[in-house]
Amino acid sequence: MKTFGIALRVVGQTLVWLLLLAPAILFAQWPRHEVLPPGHGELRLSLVHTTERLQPCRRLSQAELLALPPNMRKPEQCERARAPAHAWIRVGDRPVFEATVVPVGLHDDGRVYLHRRWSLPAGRYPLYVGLKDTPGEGGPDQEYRFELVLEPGHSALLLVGDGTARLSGSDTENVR
Amino acid sequence: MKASGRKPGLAASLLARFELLLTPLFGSLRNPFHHLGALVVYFFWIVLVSGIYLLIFYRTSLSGAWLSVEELTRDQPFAGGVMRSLHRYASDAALLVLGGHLLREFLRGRFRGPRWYSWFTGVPLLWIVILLGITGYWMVWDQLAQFVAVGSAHLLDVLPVFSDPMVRSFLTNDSVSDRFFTLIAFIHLIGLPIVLVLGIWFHVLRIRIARINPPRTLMAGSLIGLLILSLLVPAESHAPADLAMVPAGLALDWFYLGAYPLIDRFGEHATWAGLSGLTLLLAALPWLWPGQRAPVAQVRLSDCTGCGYCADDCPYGAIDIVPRSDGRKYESEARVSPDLCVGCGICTGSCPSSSPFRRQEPLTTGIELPNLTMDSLKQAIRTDGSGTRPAVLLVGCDHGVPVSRFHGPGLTTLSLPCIGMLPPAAIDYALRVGGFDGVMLGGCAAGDCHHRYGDRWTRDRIRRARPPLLRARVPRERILMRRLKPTEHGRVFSQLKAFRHRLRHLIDPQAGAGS
Repeated sequence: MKTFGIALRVVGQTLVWLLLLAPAILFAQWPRHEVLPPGHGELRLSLVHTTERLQPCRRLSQAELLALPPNMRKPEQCERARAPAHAWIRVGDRPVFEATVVPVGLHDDGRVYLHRRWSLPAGRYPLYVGLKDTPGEGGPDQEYRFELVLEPGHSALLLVGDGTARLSGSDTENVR
Repeated sequence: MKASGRKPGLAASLLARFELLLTPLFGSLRNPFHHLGALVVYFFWIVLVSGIYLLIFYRTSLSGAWLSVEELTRDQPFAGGVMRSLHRYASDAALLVLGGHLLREFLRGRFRGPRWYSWFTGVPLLWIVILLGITGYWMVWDQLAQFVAVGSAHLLDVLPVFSDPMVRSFLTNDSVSDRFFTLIAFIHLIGLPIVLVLGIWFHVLRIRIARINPPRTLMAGSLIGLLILSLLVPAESHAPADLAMVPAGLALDWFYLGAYPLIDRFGEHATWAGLSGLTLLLAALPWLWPGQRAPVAQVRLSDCTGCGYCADDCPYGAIDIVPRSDGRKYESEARVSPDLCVGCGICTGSCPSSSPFRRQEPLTTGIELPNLTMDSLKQAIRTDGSGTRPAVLLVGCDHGVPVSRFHGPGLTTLSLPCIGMLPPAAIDYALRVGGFDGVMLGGCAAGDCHHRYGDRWTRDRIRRARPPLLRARVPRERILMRRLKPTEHGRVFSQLKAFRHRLRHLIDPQAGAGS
């Protein structure tokens, strides 16, 4: 009788453990997560670009050069800060992105980095990228046009920067 | 001294009722809810052992990571497959139990006052454990790993730390390098585990005799449960990572990866703000909700011999034995650290000077609480004067069943901050001088003392297994100790009734003959 009681207790405790641990197993894989809605794909933008300097470099005069120590006689003097980049992205007729991005670095002297992703219904779209990388007001200095063919579940990558642009899976590219 | 016997709050009552569900099957001492912190550590032992096995077969390369895990799962299902499932589910169980541990300590108010340290050092542990889980998922390099890696990169890139964004490492399949897996393996296998062990050490630093191992029956039961579940629902990988595709239908581990869908929904900045805010709120709880500070124990050098019993018994390490400062013949004396003292009074119970038999006016002892002095305790140990017999002294604690509700003819109640505060000599005094026929002690449930060891020390003192000993002459049949949850009024009532019946029999054996 005592053995039966112990056995019953062991079985009971095991069942309780199964019950207590079940949530750990259940919520370790359920509910499932869908990153994209059905029938959608993803467009990723990776912009890595070195913009123009805010002030153009200045050539030093001979007198100025001679006034410097011999090991520091660099003929050009450049301010460190670079212009922010302004980017326009249009998919079809719809503008999906427009923003100004400041170069990295404490003195804004690094490159401009921009990474974004958008969920889009699968299909064919004209894709437009505009990039302004010079100081002052105005429109884009560089423009690129592609035909985006997006299949469900696919992730298209648009690489822009340093004078080029490339869309994964696309050969079309127009540069102004 | 007035018996306080305060009622437990609604949350504490509900918690006690919930936890009581398991007591009939496991017993109070082995109730899993009483060992949540130790169970977390135990689950990490399972994770460690199973992880070492997995590491033997794991290849830290882009082409080898997914394949090696898949081979392990498919080619040796009863070793590798089970080990992998055990590794994963024990990790999930650890986080689940960790959440329960945190919630339980919060509901019982054990996060404020001098206990702030354990609470505060526990908050980073939560994140270290989550980071361990996240890096573990990266190592498989399946679609889930891809989702986590890209999400993590986006999350980290908004911090003004990296000039070259991390997400660039995950633009194409070619941009992921083998070194990435070496780095992640290093973080998951060496870096974070070391930080975790250090974190646990800090977490229990202010706790004396920390319980880091659960009872063996709980170890065996939980391991069997995990093994059964590993066989029933084996852990599997998703398809291999492909950065040209968006992962679909992810079986997300919501314990570890629950924050990632938030990034897609609310953006990186809002996710950071939410997670940081929650963490800060958790960490700041002891100060945001400080509660009432309990009075700190005070040493009376005139009664202190420096024996060290109080320092041995203090569950919080709040008492040090230091060289004597008053020139008396003793070598040492007790010294209380006010920052660590929670005012449980266990030190009063352990002090050999805490004897109501001493003829000193007012009665003092070596160490006592300013609001519950030895003198007031002595005054409280007297019958109600009604002459009703058997006269019983019912001693409870502020965290167990509120004893004041049982007050009635022939019954005197006394509620202490902890049952461990009652000196053994006070039991002797109640029976010999106080006019009581019996003493019933009702502290917190076994294995669940609010002040960790008060119930155990009291039991050991009565059994003469721990000093100060209850004198051998004290009739043990007139003492009843029942350790119960704060909601078990009914059991206290029935135990009290049976105890009084037994005492009636002891007082007058003839009286109870017919009953």
